[in-house]
Amino acid sequence: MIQRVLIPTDFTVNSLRIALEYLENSDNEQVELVLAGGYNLGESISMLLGFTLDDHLAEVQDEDFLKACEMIKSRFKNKVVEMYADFMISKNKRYVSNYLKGRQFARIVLPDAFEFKHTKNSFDIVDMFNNIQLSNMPEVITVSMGEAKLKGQDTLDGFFFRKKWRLSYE
Amino acid sequence: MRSYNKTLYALITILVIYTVSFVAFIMYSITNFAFSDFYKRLDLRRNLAAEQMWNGKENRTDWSLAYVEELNNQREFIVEFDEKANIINNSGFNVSLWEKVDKQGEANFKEGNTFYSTKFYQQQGKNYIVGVSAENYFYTHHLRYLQNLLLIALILGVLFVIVVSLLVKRSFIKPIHGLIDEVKKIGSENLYLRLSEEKYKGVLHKLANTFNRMLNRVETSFETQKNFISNASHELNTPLTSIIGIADLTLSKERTVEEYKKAMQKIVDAAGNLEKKTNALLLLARTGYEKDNKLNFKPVRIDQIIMDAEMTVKAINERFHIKTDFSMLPDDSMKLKVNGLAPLLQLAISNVVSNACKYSPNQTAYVALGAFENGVLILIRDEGIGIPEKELLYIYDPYFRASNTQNFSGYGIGLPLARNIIKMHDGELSVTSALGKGTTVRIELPTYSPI
Repeated sequence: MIQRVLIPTDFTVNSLRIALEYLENSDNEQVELVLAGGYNLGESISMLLGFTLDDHLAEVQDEDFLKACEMIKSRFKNKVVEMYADFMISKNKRYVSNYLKGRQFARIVLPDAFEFKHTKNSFDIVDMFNNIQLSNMPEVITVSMGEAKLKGQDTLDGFFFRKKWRLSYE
Repeated sequence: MRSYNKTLYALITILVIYTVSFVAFIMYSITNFAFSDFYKRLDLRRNLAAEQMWNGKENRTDWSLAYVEELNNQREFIVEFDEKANIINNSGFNVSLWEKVDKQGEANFKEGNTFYSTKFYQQQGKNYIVGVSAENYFYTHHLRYLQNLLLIALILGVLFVIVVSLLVKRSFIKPIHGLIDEVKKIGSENLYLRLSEEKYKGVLHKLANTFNRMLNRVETSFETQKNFISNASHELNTPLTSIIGIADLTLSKERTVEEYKKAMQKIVDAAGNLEKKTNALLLLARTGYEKDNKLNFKPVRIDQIIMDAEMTVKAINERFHIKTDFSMLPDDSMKLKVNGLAPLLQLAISNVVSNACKYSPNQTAYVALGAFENGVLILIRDEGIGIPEKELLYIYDPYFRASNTQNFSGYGIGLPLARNIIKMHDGELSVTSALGKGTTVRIELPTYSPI
């Protein structure tokens, strides 16, 4: 059974460490990762009409982010069946509840401490999940992000050199 | 270019001929229609007139006026003539036109704007020609107007065709001229220049792109050739120094057989290293002489190459530390296969790694490897002196050394060489650095795809 897992993201390479932490510490089961970012669509009609999910996703995911996603996919090839980005477009309780229900999430991964990059209209979905009371909340898994100094570093090398070395010629 | 012009002029001619013939056809068919229609009307009136004359139906004189519209300047005439076509009686017929009249049957002809319709009749042994003449109002007024209209349209059309063709020609030729000018600027002294691809569209964009790719290859092999001697000296220097150093140290005093053996072993190792480098250099020298500018690339495992490169660096200087992060190695080892030459890739990576160690106070380089969809990523990071931001542009120039490297020995050859080797493998090498904090070299190589 493939489990669908929600991973919060701000579409920076740095935020993919949440996915990495989760994958490294989870059991050997097949998962489908949904990288969800918060984007407040607002109430203006032009936003409602002019917003297309695919276009906007293409806009926010830069080359390094996509490469990093591919890297995670090839690293955990046996575990990660599918990995894609998505938006949650409102903080509304009913919307969130329906979003989780409709996509049948088995798990939500929340980092213990992580500062998301704030862009126009974006919102912190970790913060939202922490403060929301839902009847149908899936299992929440908290991952610890470790060293604080890596925060804010948004290059592909933030991905590596995170903790102990697997191999070294000392 | 000349044949291009020819085609264009041929095209213009064809268009002009088309327009002219189109106009002529319209004019001809309308005129034709006007004539035949008018002759038909004249024939009708002539028959009516003849009937009136022969049958003497005087009571129906105004029959024609009542039912048939009087034409412009309409005139009926009758001509009596003998067997030799000599006119005996004439009622208002212009004798100068006698030639045109068919003396045995019907005839239609025109003189100026006046149209004639005549017919031969034999009545009581006498020969008559009965005819009607009238001016064609449609011909004199409407057709003239149409003629002028078509003439003006024709002139305008031809002008339009010529102007548009010249404009099209210009817009075709202009970007090609731009391309030519840009290519002219590129010479052996500025091979780094590239054509600006965004300026062109469609096929020309592809052309510019192809040019640029060719220039990339040419530049890489040109530079490798140009700097070969410096590259060779640079690469051979380090192992030689270490051989000399070991030998000197060993010879400085009397030693036991064991110590000599150990020293000799070290020298053999260093010499082996030297041999490896010589081989790599020979491969490098061959670039540009191979068919299709392609060396005998084979699929090689990049993790193996990185490990070998690290061993080489360690062998040269024992104080160098290398920490490797293979945590992002893919599950599928096929993703680590790169099409290339192992000795060359090793040379490139060991150069970058040894630089990372050399310019760091802790002499430690951090190496990481990961694979994405169709390529591998190698990151080599250090916590060294970094490169001043303004000088980042020049680091790939041979013999360039950053302003903060006075305390380190070096020639500024390793990095350009490494970059050229990576470019030869269709890869990319980029450097980011923060002064005083460290430098990260990012190498991307396309994975091997068996086709």
